[in-house]
Amino acid sequence: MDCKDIKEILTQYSLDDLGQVEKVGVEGHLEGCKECKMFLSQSQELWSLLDTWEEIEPEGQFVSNFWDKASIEETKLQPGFLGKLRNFKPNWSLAGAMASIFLVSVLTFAVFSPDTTNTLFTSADEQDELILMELDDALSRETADVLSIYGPWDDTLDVSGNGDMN
Amino acid sequence: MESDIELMLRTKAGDDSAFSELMNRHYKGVLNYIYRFTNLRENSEDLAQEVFLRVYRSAKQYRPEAKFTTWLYKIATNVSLTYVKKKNKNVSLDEMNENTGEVEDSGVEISDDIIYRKEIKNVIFSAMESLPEREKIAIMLCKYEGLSYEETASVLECTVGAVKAYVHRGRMKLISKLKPYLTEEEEYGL
Repeated sequence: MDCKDIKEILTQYSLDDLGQVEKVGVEGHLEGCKECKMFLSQSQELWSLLDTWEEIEPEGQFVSNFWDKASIEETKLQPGFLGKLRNFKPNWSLAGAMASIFLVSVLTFAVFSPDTTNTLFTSADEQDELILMELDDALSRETADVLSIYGPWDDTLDVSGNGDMN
Repeated sequence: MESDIELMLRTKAGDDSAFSELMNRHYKGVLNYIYRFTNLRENSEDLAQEVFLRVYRSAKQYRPEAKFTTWLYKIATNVSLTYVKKKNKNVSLDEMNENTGEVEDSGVEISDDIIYRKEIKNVIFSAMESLPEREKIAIMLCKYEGLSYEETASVLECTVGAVKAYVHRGRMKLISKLKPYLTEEEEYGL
């Protein structure tokens, strides 16, 4: 392995992320190569230098701040009537299905509905009905006359059994 | 202790206390990750909250297919990159270096150590800024957030080999950019 190859795996070497064979190869090369040795040293030094960029501490109230922000965002996200109208997205497949059902219902009703022309009540029908009623009335009177031989009936019939029938 | 995935599933079921626990675990990491992206403390707090808001909002669609941290850092990376790209249109790097959000009392004498630490922080930030995006993210996740190569590969949606290459190349570039702060070549007898 030459210096270029070694430099490419020096990062992994410093992180102990190399196989045994490569590790021995790198160590053998470093024994006799000052340049690669310096590169390794600088690479490790760089990693330590990056540590000098100190961390910052979060504000103590970050969790409660978050929930405050989340509730504000939630309120903002809830749309008003106009917003709901603007955001309304029609469900075309549902609308199509409902329109089909409506059409089938209308057609079914049109085909199987009773014939309304038979229900028309004409003046002839009215006269027929009057005749029938008169006939019915006459029959009732005739029947009453025939039955009068058994009467008149006493409406004040004593149901206790003490009095006479007539 | 409950795993992140278990807490996230509880959040999905409507348990907000589980999400508070998740924030307690990861807030500091996300905050510092964003801070190293932006070098702006105040905005980092807001952006970290934004990251957790996005996670919380998408909790209903959460599926425990990947590790929680990789999902979290993927969102944090997107939020940071969007912010930096938007900000860089308006603010120069010098302004960003100056605006660290740290309060300095002009009446108090600032020690050499504080000056050095501030200087080195800005130098490291500038050096990181100059790296290609993927190299910068790979180094930040592996070095500062302690993510493994596999986890970093998942965040960057690339192979583990690619992450190793990004880290190596980024490291080489940082060595050359931060040479004045590293041991001189003469000291190695070169």
